[in-house]
Amino acid sequence: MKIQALAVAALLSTQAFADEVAFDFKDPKGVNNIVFKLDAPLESISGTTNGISGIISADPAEPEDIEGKIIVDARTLSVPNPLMQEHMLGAEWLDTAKHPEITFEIKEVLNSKKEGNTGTAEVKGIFTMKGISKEVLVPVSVTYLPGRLADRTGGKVEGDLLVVRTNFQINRGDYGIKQGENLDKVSDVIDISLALAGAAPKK
Amino acid sequence: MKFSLRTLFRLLALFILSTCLSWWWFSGADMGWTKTYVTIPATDDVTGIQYEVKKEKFVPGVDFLALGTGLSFVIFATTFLFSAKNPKIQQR
Repeated sequence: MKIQALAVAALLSTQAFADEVAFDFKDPKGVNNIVFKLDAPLESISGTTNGISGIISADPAEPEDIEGKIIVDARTLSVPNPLMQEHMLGAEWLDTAKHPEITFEIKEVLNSKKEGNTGTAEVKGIFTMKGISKEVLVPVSVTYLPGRLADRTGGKVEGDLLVVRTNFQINRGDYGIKQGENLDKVSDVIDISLALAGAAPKK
Repeated sequence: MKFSLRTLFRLLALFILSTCLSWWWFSGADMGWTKTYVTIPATDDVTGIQYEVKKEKFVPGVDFLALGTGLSFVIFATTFLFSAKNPKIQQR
């Protein structure tokens, strides 16, 4: 009897994971991008990065059933001015030699709504930058595109796509980046916009 | 045509100032810092993601303008060190 119950539980858990799909966010096309903006009284800074990777496991039928981590190679953050870039990546600011990754790990999905292939939710996660981790709540829009990976790969790879978009703010001071310093030129508030497409090739 | 060293340096200062000013002006008179690339917006057809394509391009900013102006003023200022009796330079 006990063995039967265990078998049923195992079967149910297998069923639960059967619909979950792992989407890889390393994009060889270089379309996946994160834009960051800092608008200080004397200076406005805008930069981007394409150095994004990570896996998000999602069940398209259950928007709240989502987990994973997005990783940004901090060394790929770029601004158009080379001197500014050198300072940004240097030891005084992001110190990318010691802290080469910026990560966001999904912990919990709240208030999810689904409309067609698109879902919106608030995602609670751990944002880590310069070695400091903080819990943040970000509004996320997720669009599931079944069978569209082939369109992106010229028919070479069949599979699904998951498009994730979000805009949120963080304070650089919270992450030990010159807290309270140079506020007239480098805003404490950083606006972050993500637009990422993850691919799940069919096996 | 004969120029004194003083005149020659003043002409050099004027040349640097006018070159920097016109380069900055005709590159769009960017009020930000000098850029070594510009971004062109693009949209991915499949996902609809809007992204930026980087294109290498030198866009002089206010720092470039300040450097050029400063340099021309320094050269101009040094001309006051030359006496009017300095030997003339033959210019062809």
